[in-house]
Amino acid sequence: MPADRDDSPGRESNQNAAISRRSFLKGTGLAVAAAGVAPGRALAGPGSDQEEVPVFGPGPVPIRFELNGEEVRVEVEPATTLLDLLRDRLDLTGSKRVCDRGSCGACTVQVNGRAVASCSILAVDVTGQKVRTIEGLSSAEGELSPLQQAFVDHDALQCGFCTPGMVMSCQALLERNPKPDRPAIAAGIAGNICRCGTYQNVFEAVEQASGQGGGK
Amino acid sequence: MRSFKMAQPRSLAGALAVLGGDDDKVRALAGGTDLLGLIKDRIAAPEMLVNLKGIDGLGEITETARGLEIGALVKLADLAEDARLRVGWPAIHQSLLETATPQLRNVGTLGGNLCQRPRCWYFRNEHYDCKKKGGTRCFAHDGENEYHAVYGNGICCIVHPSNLAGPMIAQEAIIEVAGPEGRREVTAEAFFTSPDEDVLRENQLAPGELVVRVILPPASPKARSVYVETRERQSFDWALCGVSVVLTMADQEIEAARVVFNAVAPVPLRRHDLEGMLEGRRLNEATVDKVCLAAPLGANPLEQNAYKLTLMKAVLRRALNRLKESAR
Ligand SMILES: Cc1cc2nc3c(=O)[nH]c(=O)nc-3n(C[C@H](O)[C@H](O)[C@H](O)COP(=O)(O)OP(=O)(O)OC[C@H]3O[C@@H](n4cnc5c(N)ncnc54)[C@H](O)[C@@H]3O)c2cc1C
Ligand code: FES
Ligand code: FES
Repeated sequence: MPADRDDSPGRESNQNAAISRRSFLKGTGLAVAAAGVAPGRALAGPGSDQEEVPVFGPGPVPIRFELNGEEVRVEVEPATTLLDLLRDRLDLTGSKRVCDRGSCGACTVQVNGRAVASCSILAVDVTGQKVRTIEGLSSAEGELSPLQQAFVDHDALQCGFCTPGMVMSCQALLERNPKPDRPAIAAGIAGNICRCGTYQNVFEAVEQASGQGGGK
Repeated sequence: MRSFKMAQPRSLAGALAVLGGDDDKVRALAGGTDLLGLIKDRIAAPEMLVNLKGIDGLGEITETARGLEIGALVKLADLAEDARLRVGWPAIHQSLLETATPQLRNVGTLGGNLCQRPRCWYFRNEHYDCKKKGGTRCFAHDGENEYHAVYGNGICCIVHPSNLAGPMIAQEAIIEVAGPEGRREVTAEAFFTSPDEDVLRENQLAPGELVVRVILPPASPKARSVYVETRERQSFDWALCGVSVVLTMADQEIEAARVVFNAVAPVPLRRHDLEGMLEGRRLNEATVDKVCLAAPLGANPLEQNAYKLTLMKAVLRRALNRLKESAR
């Protein structure tokens, strides 16, 4: 899905914003004019033959997105992953870094409801999107969500290191499929590796949270 | 991660203008699930990424007179959920369900999947200056090669990492490419290139060119297709060996066949010999036995990967049996 134009990183629609995309670009002097490329070819879309391509970074660039229901505005380098931003800058250390390569699921968060490996996407790419981390599941008073409670009830964790990511994958699954059967749960957590082997208990926890027995 | 600049074009023309053509310095960024790993592992060190995600018109799936047209920026998860794909191009659909993890399919794109770099552990390790990185040796050839190629492994032993590449060839996909010179179309079969053509790349994209669309021509109503793979883990994993089979049936007889293995060679391995053995025959047990026996013909296994020859027979048998059952 192409990002909304007004949501592009570095752009601030707020007149009071310290750095607008345009002034940022002027500041770096890096905008590249695409005019004159491929003359007469079918490449250019309507009006795009005059496109000035904004270039930002490598220094920090302002971004804005929704994090656990609240708007966040920060400046990040383009080379910052969402996981780096969450853990190192925003102090949300629930999302874990294990492989940092998309292969374990410990860093799983939701972006617009979908499970995503936060180590493997750039922070600038969540501009204008809704991000939810494990910290966003419980209520403001600290009351566990039904899914979190089900994990506790079913001992669906041992060392707990995979757990935040595992819970976020299950949360994303339940939002798309409120009554998943076992194969659907297995497919939903296929990207989350638990070296303690809690999978069986995770199945039961998801079944409880989705009102399909599994209760204790 | 090493820092980089980011260009945010709104149009294809803008993207092509900033890409320029120096692959080492400027790279296209789609979902980033492969590229960011390459940068973290210091295999790629681009100074600038060109973010394709803001480009209009590359994120859609449309049905046209030519078939199903899929923009390069369509996410794997969205493609996997497309009912037209599931019904019309089952091998591609099935291979998608076995690709990576839910988290990665939610971010990774079709274009990125087809253009991802190989997973050979020597290639992915900055300390091995292998041929694929411009060096003079293939370390896998006499090294740890259990996941490597059993065909076409003389120069470099990678297997092509994309699950989709094989079924795209089996289902006769056309890949539309755009570059500074304009647009061109190439069959999926011609798109992927072997190390003897150029060991530094896995497809025929010139530097600065982009995949913009994949076109799936309508399958014949008489065609049946399937994708089967094996892997070490039940949850997500790379395929150890996979096969895509498309059979066009005339009554009980196989009129035309396409058989493409993946994860056994540096490019998806189309097997004209097996196709010839299937064509003109009935799809029965005798045919299946005969063709499966011939599946590993011509293979040249390395020290640790002869097991893939057995897997080739097994996945082909499963694939043909599935088609046999669905024919009843
Ligand atoms: C843990 C793990 C497991 C995986 N398992 C599998 C698996 O089982 N099967 C499988 O097939 N894949 C697997 N993958 C790979 C995954 O499918 C790819 O990483 C993903 O599809 C890449 O898409 P992307 O949009 O994120 O690409 P990016 O990372 O953005 O790009 C990948 C490469 O392609 C180039 N590129 C991107 N888009 C285009 C375009 N339109 N035109 C030209 N060049 C382009 C980029 O410059 C880059 O070099 C796995 C990956 C990981 C990390
Ligand atoms: S830390 Fe992100 S998937 Fe492992
Ligand atoms: S509970 Fe220890 S890794 Fe899952």
